[in-house]
Formats: sequence, structure tokens, C-alpha cells
Amino acid sequence: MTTQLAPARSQDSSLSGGTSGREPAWRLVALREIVVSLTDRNFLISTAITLVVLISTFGIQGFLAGRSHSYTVGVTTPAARAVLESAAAIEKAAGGNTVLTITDVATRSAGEAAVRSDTLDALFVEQGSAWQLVGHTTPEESLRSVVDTALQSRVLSSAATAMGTSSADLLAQSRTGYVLLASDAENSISFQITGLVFAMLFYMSSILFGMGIANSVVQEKQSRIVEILAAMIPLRSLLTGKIVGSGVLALGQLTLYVGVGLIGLSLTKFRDLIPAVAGAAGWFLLFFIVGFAALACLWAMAGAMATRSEDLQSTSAPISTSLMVALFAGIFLDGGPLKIISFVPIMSSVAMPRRLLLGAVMWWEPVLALALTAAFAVLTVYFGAGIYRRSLLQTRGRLSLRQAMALEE
Amino acid sequence: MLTVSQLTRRFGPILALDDVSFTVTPGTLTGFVGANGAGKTTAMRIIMGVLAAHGGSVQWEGRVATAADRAQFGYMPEERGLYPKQKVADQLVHLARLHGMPPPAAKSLVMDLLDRFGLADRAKDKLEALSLGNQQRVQITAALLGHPRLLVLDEPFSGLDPNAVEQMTEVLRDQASRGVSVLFSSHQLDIVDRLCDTLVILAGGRVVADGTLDQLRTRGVARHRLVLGSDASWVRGRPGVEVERVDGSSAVIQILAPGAEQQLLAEALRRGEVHEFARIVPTLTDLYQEITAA
Repeated sequence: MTTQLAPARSQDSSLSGGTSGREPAWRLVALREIVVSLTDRNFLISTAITLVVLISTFGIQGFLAGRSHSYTVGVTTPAARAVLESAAAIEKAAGGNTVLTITDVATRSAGEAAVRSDTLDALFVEQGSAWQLVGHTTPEESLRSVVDTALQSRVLSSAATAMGTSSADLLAQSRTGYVLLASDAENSISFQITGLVFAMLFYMSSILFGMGIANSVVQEKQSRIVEILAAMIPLRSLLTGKIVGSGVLALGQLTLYVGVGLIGLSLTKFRDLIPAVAGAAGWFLLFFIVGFAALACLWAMAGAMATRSEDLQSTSAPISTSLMVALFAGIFLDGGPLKIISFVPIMSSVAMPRRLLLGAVMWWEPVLALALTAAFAVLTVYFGAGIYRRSLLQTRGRLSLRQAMALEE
Repeated sequence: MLTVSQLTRRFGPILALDDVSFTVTPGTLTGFVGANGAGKTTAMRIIMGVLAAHGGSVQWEGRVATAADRAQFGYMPEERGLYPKQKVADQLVHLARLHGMPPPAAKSLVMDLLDRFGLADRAKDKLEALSLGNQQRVQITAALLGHPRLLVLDEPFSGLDPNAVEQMTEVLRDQASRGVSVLFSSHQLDIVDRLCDTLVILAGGRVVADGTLDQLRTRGVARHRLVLGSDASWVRGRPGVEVERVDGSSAVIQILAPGAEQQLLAEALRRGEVHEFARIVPTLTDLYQEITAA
């Protein structure tokens, strides 16, 4: 290297000297973590795939639910036209998605010919005292039901007029009400599914980003750059930056998923559930971030105890097992046991959002559960950060927790 | 000036450093030599503040070194790393910013250094895509980012081809000529011999020798080679000398008493032709083996 380097200190004051506007080290570390992830092809692809799956799930549902049925129906008499017109009006008033286009045809046989050639979807004629829909190959049930409704309404209203009452009164007398003793939510399969989705999201994101922290720690340890960093900035800043960076990424990704999920839900027939689901989703994100904070330092600790990425499987086993237990307990328990674990840190991140979805939760319950998790987080930060600091420069093989705890700085 | 005084460090039952003291003066290249496990890396980590000492202290300019002092130390750890999967310029800028530089200054310094190291066209490549020699250049660039006054380099020459060794040598000489104190460890004693002004030899966690090469060379027993025109066996039994070996007309002699070599030479000249009479200058390898064997 025929190099002429800058004089050792002459530029120092202009370059590294002044502390004004100096960015805190943890923020630079967090920024690097975020930038590295956002430019990592695997991360982007997996996020995109999840989004595509989410969007297409809701998209297909929405498409199926919102697809409009449009029929061109031929009529031969004004009476038939009147029935269809009222059918179209009733359907429109009910917000249905069956659209009728009414066409006059001269004779029944001309109409049947048009149906055969698919110019018309159906022909609507009066046969004696009964009404008939004439189709080509398959009966169109939604068309029939729209027309039936119109006919029933006609019959009902003429009968009501004859009886000196109104069709609304007749309808009221001919229907029964249903009162359920359980709340709506408890019975709603939708809420059960949403709870399951939250649980899976919590589990997957915790593992994904937790492993991300552990990996990033072990990579720095493996490549020994941690020694350069440790000589430059306090390890506390390095750890904080890593956790904040991963936390921001995790929360960002989850918010994206939940947001897309809610928008997707609004396109389906389950749109009435949105207020309840959105509330629980807010709590879910809150519980996620506190639960994530409680685990983050433990993940970093698992990374520091490993010497190579291959060791992570075993050093992180206690954490991933706990998460698995939290996941299954949160999904499968009910009643009293569910209530109990909804206050246990980490488990509460799955169990409490589920209880919130199922309803009947006092306002202080999620607050208490959050506070307990936050207190637990303080403990794990203290414990995990200590082990992280002490294990980071140990490069002679994987450490057990006992060995790591016995290390001195 | 860096002064390491009476450093002690244990790892469990193992005493890794035992009362280690030495100095590194500005503008000099100090070689740190010793077998694997002698304690070089431990000492360097303690100097850099990434490992705590159990006794003794690291002083900079006469005071116990602080974090602010250490911000002026450039460090290149053993089995160097950086981030293999991040782009060269990106990670150097990140390190420069951790040194406290604002983004524009960090960028221009990094591009400047990369340019001078002939790596400007690799700035956007991932580190792992570079050859080992080039990775080493990036590594030394990283150590220079903070405009260090002290460079602590753990095995900067390991794994380098002869060309890259030459280039690294130039960088270190250049830094020393700018008044930077340079401490580097190496197993390649020929490089240390060629490059170093002073030397610290570590064995079993203790400093077994320390000083300039000349000081080390003269501290042992002086040995001379004598080549005569005829049989040399008469040197045995001369006063003040110890004969190591006689091989026909040549002999290797240790001079035990001052002036004994003059008497020996006079006697040799009186007896006939003298083809050679010279002090044997030991190589560093010889010295190292002699010192660490003791």
C-alpha cells in the first residue's frame, strides 16, 4: 500500500473532537440493525410473502362475499315486469348484490330461444296462477330467492290489506326471537380464530426477532468485531441499540400485518367485528412490545453464550421452549386457568389479548398484567445484560448458564 | 506514551498475565512476541479496556487510561472480523460515526482512506467478497478511523501473502513516522526482526525480555566465530573463553572475560593466518529460542 495517511491528530478536532450534535451510540447501533434488516433480501421476501398471503386470504373472501350477480331476465307481460321491478327494489334496499336487468320479449317461445342462445339468463313468465323462471342449464338460486322474496312480499301485503292489517305486523307475528345466554363473542368462531392469529403472530415474531438479536450478537462475537466495538462504546449502548433496533423492526412488521389484517377484515362480511378486534389488536401490540422487551435481553444472553451460530439452537432452547409453552397454554387453556396465566409474564402476551377478545375482562386486568410483565422485564434486562457482558469475550466454546453466571468481568 | 505496569489477570485457576510491565513510545514499532497462550491477546484486550485486569494498570501519558484516552487507540483484534455481510464502506462509516464523527465527515474520511488503500472500487462490495489481503486492509482502515495515537494490532500479518505483508509493513512504518505508537503481535519473527524498534517477549504470562533489538542481542553471552589457515584446536583451554565447538580450522567461542577476545586474536595472528574473526549476531529466532528456553 503506497499510502499517505492523514496526519495522526491534525484533523482530530474537526472530525472526532467536538461533542456537539454527537449521536448517541445506541441510536447508531439501532439504526444499523434496522438498515441491515431492511436491506436483507430474506427479511424483505418473508415479509412480502406474509403480506401476500394475508391480502390474498382476505381478498378471496372479500371477492367471494362481494361478487355481484347480474341477470338479464326477459318478461312477456307488464305483471311480470312489475314483480321483477319490485324484486330489484327490495334487493337494492337490502344492500344485496343481485342486479336485475329486465327486457321485454314478444312471446314465451321467443324468450326461450333467447335463453337457449344465452342472450337472456332467464325468462320470467306467469303460467296459469303460478310464476315460473325458465333457465338454460342450471337453476340460479340467488335469482330465484330474490324473485321469491318479491312474490312473498306481494302476497303478504295483499293478504294483509284483505285482513285489515299491515304486512309488517304479520311478519312480526310470524317470526321468533332468539336469546343466547352466552355472550356473542364466546360463541363467535371469528374471535377464536383472531385469538389464534394473535397467538401465532406473537410466537412467530418473538422467535424471528429474538433469534435475530441472538444471531446478531453471536455474529459480532464470532467475527470479533465486538472487541472493536467494546473498545469504542460501552457494551450497554451496544445491547440497548440492538434491542431497540430489533424491537422497532418487530413492532413495525407486526403493525403492518395487523393493519393489513384489519383492512382486509373490513372487506369481508365480518366487518362488524372490527371495533372489537381493533381494540384487542391495540392491546396485543402493547403486550407484544412489553413481552418482547422482557425476552430481548435473554435472547442477547443466549447469543453471547454461543461461540458460533450453530450453538444458538442449544443456548436459546430455554427461551424458545418457554415461548412454546406460552403459546400452547394461551391457546388451549380456558376459564380459570386461562385467567391465571393471563397474569403470568410472557404467557400473558398470548393469554390476555385472547381474553380481551372473548370479552368480560375488567379494565384493570390487562393493566396489571402489563405492569407485571414490565417488572419481569426489569429483572431479565438486569440478569441478561450482565451475562451478555461477561460472556461476550469468552471465545473458547459454548457456555452453559451456570458457567456464564460464574464468569467475572 | 503507553505504560503497562504490573498487569495481572487470571482465568479461573490459570494465571494468564503475571506482573507484566512494558512501555510503547511514540513513533516506535514495538513487537509483541510469544508462544500461543503466552498472554499477548489478554494483554492487548486489557490495554483496549475490553477486559478487566486483576492487578496493575494501563497508563496513557502518565495517567491511568480513561475511556476518552482509549477513544484515541486504534484496535485490530485477532481473527479479525468486521461484519462479513455488510458493505465495506457502510460498516466503516458506521464505525467512524461511533467514533463521534458527523455523517458527512465520516463518509469523506472513509472514502479518502479506501482510496488511499486502493479499495475505492470495492467500497460497495460486501466484506466477505474481498480477498483476505483486502479484508486485512479494510481491517487496518477500521483501526485508523479514529485518527489513533496508539495502534494495538493483534497478529496483523497472519494469513497475508508476501505482497500484502509488504503493504502492511508500509502502513505501520508510515503510522510510526507520524508519531503514532504501534504495538503489534506476531509469530512471524522475521517480520518482527525487520520491522521493530523494540520488542517485548512474553512467555507463560510474564515478560521474559524487553528492549531494543540491539539491547537484546548484547544482553546474552557474546559469541565469535574464528576461521584460521590451519588447525584451530589450540583454542581449547585458552583463558577467558569457552569453546562451543571446533571443526578443523574453524571454531565458535564464547567470550567470558572482557578483553579475552583481543588476546585470542593476538595469539591467532601470532600462530598464522586468520581468515575470519567476527562476532556472531544472533537472529531474533535464535534470541527468542534462547530467551524462552531459559
